[in-house]
Amino acid sequence: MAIWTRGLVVLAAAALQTPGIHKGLEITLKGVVRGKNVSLQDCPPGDNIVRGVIRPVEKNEFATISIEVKALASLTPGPIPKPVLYDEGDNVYKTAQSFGELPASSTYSCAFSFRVPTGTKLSRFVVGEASFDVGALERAGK
Amino acid sequence: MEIDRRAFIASVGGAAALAVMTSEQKADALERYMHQQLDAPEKFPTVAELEAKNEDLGRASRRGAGNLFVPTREGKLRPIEKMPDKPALLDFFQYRFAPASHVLQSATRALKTGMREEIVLACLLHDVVLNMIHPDHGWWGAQLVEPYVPEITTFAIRYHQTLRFYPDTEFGYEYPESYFRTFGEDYQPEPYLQRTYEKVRNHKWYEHPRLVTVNDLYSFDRNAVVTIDPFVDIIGRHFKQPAEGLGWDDSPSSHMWRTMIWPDRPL
Repeated sequence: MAIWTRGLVVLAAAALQTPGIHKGLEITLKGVVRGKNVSLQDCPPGDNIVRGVIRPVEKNEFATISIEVKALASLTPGPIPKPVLYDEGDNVYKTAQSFGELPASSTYSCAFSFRVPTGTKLSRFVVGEASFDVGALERAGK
Repeated sequence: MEIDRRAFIASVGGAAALAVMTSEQKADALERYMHQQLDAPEKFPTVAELEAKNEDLGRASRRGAGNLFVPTREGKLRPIEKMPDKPALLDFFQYRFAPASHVLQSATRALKTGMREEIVLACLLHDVVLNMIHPDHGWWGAQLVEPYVPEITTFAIRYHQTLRFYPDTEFGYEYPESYFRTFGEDYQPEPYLQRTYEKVRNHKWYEHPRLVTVNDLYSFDRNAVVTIDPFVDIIGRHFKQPAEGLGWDDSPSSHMWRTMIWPDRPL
């Protein structure tokens, strides 16, 4: 990748770290990691000890999206939609990980994992009205 | 994190080496050892290795014995308290299933994520039969409650066991790492499970046992604080409590409840 292109990607990634807001829930994208073994926690995370794995025979991997969430005073009571992940072909990937109760003004670091075919090029991470360009973030190596 | 005492002592050069270390040196060595353990990828057993362990006839019990019949990790059997003459489901939670943290966590999550009451009830009951028996606990567990709960609840309990082996991206259900340890890294579900999976996958009620498996994954938090209280009304609405008491109503599963009332009965 040319130096100037890499610079643009880094700039784009920095811009992506601007928080998105869904009904009073402020979300900041922190990173994307690929792996075969992930911790399964809701958000806010507790002490659940279960981990999910990709079995050796599969051609899948987990794409784990790390975020920081802050419950603003304007947070609308009620369920928060589960996050979804899109790839460049607009295929949607789901997770069972859920948002739980988020006390006002609280901030949490959370990670949501999605089972995707190995090497899938990611596009967007969406929580209700908040959407983030994870593709650029990943290209920037975050 | 559990520390293998022998392995730790070996890692510092043996008991003699440990004996001459200062407290600070021991603490440093322990911290270093724990970091090494965390960094090292876990080696999971194979199916053959697990089967070889079953040849050990000196074990305290076989793997399939229910929790009421085997010692706890502390090495002692659970105390068995006398139950009311006409025990209700809540009595079993108090006297036989307690602390029941896993099923309470599972049902709590189902409630908080807005699942229908029959599924909340299924989550609450899906593993209680493990107090009696472990193998094929989906089938045993469904049979235990079938005379008393909605058909959807029975269906969800019966088939959650099978669906646990099959990831589902639509529902975000993942294969649990613990199954590598329990069944072996190279385990493949037996043909009866594969047949059952295919049948349930195409059933109009597939979603119900699948939701039980999803909550199952997120309900192993040792520090979670849960109680039966949020479920008392749901039990009241959906669990047909027999007037004679569970175990004494001559239903097709009365004998199973009696087995849990009297786990010390010889015959």
